[in-house]
Amino acid sequence: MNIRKATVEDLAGMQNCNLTNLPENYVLKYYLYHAISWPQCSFVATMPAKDSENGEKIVGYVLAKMEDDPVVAQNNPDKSKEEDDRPHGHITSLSVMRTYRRMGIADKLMRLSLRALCEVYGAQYVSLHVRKSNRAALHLYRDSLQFEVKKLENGYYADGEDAYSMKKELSVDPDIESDDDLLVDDIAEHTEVSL
Amino acid sequence: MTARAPPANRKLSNMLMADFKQCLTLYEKKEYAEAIKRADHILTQKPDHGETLAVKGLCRYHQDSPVEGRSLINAGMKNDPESYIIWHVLALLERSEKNYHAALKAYQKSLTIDPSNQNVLRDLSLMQIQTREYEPLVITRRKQLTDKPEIRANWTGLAVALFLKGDYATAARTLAAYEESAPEKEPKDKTQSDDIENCELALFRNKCLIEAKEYDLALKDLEELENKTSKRHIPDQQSILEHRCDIYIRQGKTKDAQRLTRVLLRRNPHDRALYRQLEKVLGIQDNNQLKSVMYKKLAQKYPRSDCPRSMPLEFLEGQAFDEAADAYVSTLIHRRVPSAFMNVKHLYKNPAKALSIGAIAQRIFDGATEDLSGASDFLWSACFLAQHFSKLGDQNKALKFIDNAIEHTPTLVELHLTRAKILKRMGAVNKGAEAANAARELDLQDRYLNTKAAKYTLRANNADDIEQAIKLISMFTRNDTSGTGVQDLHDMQGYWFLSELARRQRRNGDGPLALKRHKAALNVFSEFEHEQLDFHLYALRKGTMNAYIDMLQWEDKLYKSKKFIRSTRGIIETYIALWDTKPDCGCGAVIPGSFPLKAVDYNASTTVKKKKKKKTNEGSAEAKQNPNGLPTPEHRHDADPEGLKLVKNVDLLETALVHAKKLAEVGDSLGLVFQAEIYLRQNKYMLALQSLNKLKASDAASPYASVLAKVAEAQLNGDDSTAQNLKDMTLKMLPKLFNETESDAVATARLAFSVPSYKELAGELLKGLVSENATAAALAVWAANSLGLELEDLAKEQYPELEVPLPN
Ligand SMILES: CC(C)(COP(=O)(O)OP(=O)(O)OC[C@H]1O[C@@H](n2cnc3c(N)ncnc32)[C@H](O)[C@@H]1OP(=O)(O)O)[C@@H](O)C(=O)NCCC(=O)NCCS
Repeated sequence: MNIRKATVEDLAGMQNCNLTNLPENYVLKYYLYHAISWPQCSFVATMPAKDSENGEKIVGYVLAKMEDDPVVAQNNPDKSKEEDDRPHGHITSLSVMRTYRRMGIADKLMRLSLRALCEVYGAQYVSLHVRKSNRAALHLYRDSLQFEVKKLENGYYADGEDAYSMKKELSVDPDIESDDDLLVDDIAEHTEVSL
Repeated sequence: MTARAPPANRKLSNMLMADFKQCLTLYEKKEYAEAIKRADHILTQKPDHGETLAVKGLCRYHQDSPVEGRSLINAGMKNDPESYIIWHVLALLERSEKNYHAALKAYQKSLTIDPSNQNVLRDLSLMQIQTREYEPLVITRRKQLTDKPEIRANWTGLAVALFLKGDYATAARTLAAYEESAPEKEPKDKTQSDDIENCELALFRNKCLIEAKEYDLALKDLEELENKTSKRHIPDQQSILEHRCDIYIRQGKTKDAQRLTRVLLRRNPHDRALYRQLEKVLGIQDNNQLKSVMYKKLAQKYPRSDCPRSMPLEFLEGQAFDEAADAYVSTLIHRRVPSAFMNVKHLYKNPAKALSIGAIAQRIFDGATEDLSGASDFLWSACFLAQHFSKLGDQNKALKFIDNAIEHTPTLVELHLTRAKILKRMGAVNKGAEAANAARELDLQDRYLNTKAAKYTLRANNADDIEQAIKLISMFTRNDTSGTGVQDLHDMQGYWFLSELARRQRRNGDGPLALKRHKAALNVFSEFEHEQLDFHLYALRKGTMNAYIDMLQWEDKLYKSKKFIRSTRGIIETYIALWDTKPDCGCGAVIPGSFPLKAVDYNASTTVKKKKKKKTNEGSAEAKQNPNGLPTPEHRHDADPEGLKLVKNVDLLETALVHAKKLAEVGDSLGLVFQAEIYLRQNKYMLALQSLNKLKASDAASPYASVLAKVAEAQLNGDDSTAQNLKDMTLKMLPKLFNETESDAVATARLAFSVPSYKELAGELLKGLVSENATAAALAVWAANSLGLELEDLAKEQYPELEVPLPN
């Protein structure tokens, strides 16, 4: 398993993964729009595959974005007052190929994406929608990642299913900045001894 | 320079001039019908007014009358060849037609007549990028910047152009010059987008310094970006670290690179590339013992990370491998990870490792069968072993394991998916489809299972597979008023579906429909190419130059992708097959060994009456709203439902040749082989030989290519008996060179068979295919049948379940 930031080269593979797994699909242009607007916050999971383009194939992805400028949103009369206008991110889409599920891929993709949204783009919280009946995703968001259900949106999806609108507050992970404990000397010692 | 006086017929009276201006405004508002009314009004009084003719043409073009549109524009051009408006109109037409080179020329011409037109200048630069003309792009962008230095995008635009040209140092200086001269925005006026733009541009400027090998400057630059008190501070710590690490590596500062790679690893301990990088900067990539130490430590440090556990399996051997694999594989099985096998299957190229892994699973399986409390171990080890034996080619044993597991727990989706794959590998395509469908029925909500079931169905051998598959996919698509999601999968660029459908139509013998679907699959790529157009401007506004440059580089490789190549091969093969079976081509309708085609009625009418829109009473039920408030899409009128327009009044071989040339251009050697095939059919022996001579040594040595070359040579030498014999036969031969790799062998076999003394060789070749895999075997049996050979018994021995596709 390999998880890394998504690049433009990955987008067609992400699109294919999305079309395979989810009913909400987009043309490549929408993926390009994400990659070119917020290049740091989408991630992919790949597996070695000898007959794919670059020797690896995409088995999971998270596609994320920042919501429009809050300033702009404020001037938008359609938005209700209680909307939270702080800068925030949104998870556009997340899926993992069935044969690679339950290995923690989605969990890892999400954590990396949330960190980038917060650290790079200053997102103070992140929002997403999930089908009411999607047990796996609900477990992931609510239990593993501590999202909160904000409200139920009736008939949100094309087939009439309701969506939970969910939200999670973000803050910079202090551990990431600390500089200790990098095991530098350990292996360096080994290398020096034998070289 | 004296401007030539405008031709007399350009001048309009003031009244008509006002009409013309209005006509342009209406065009810009996309009110084409109204624009045309104005134009017609002008033309009644000045029928030869070139600019009006041209604008009317552009409107007609956008009203779905491309032929009339173009001829109006041409007429306008003839009347007034020096009008910058007409050249601009022509540029817009060419651009819409995706003829970017032609558009570029037209913009240039327009600009020589009216050099101050900013819009044309901007559009010219877009075409220069789209066609990757980087040298002239720099000139255009420089001019844009000189004309409007107050616009930031003009500075960035020049910098990108310089970068693309490879002049990194000047690119960096250009960006710095802007930053130093630009007025600072008050913090309170800064928007989120401003921040992103600044951050990305700062990183791009740093990238330019790195590429210019100005490492010390780049490091100093990074220090500033990192410094929270600096005006230039950016929050993207991750990118700063990556840049810095990259610089250290380039500078050979290994100690620093080691430290930073570790910092990066801590940020993402799931990135394989970072582990490899660490091996490298530690200088231990060839020392398995030290690598092993490194991965052990990192595994301790990152207990939730897969990489340090799985990566050593790639280089460890012998007992060390056995131990590491045991720890890895048994954990996965005990933890009931459905994808356990997927994580190790790439190791199977090493037979010893495959055996070792199998033994681990077997041990768990044996333990679990003794101790009945281990039900989950039993299931997951059985599933693992089924995949293991299947991968090793022992499908019967694999099937036993999976059937056993399914008997124990019939409701586990993964077991049925595995069973479907095993059956497919046995050649039992119908049963495979049934198994995939059984998996689907266990979890109707999961689109993945739906997709798999549809794919397996399209590969099965039942008469109604296509119908069934469409029914399946339509359960998850945005269906139009025809009730299916076929259109949706076109709109959503669903390459997998379009190409599977094409191959199935071809197998069904429906040439025109196969072509239609193959074209739709190829169209996905031209849409990708087209979609980049809007980002040339957008990215400049956003400042995200690194991602943008990635996009350009990705687009450059687009047509080299395996998918594009596969679909193009499919189109060529189908066109050649159609030509060979055409009643008047003089080569008979029977082609031994290729999927036979149904007779095409070349005289059938291709006009399809548009169905009258019926008023829907049930409208409210149908117009189910999706979250964006969009109603159910209208089923789009299909002007060519059976693909007949692709073959009627079309030179089949010339069309195939266009695609074959494209194939050769993107580096697929089959493109040249196909060209030879086509030239031989056109009696152009010299050209056939020339194509074959261009093959790389390895490709030219393939038996198939060399037989083809012999045919061409014999023809050229006037060696009539051999030539005639060979040519006669090749004309009837259709190399099934598309999609399956084994098809080259099939084609060769058929060719060999045509030469009496090679008959035995043909039989041997086909026999060889049988032992390859079930798909190849099915193909071989079938080809053999058509040559009057018998292979079925031999194949059935190896694949008792083999279902040979029957010619319809
Ligand atoms: C939802 C989905 C992305 C999860 O992917 P995944 O890689 O299997 O998830 P993970 O392995 O990271 O699991 C994360 C957590 O969810 C739990 N989980 C995963 N699948 C589950 C399931 N089917 N039922 C219950 N819990 C489940 C895991 O146990 C894990 O919990 P833990 O942290 O307590 O151990 C995947 O099931 C999927 O792609 N589904 C189809 C597309 C989809 O629904 N996307 C979400 C749209 S909003």
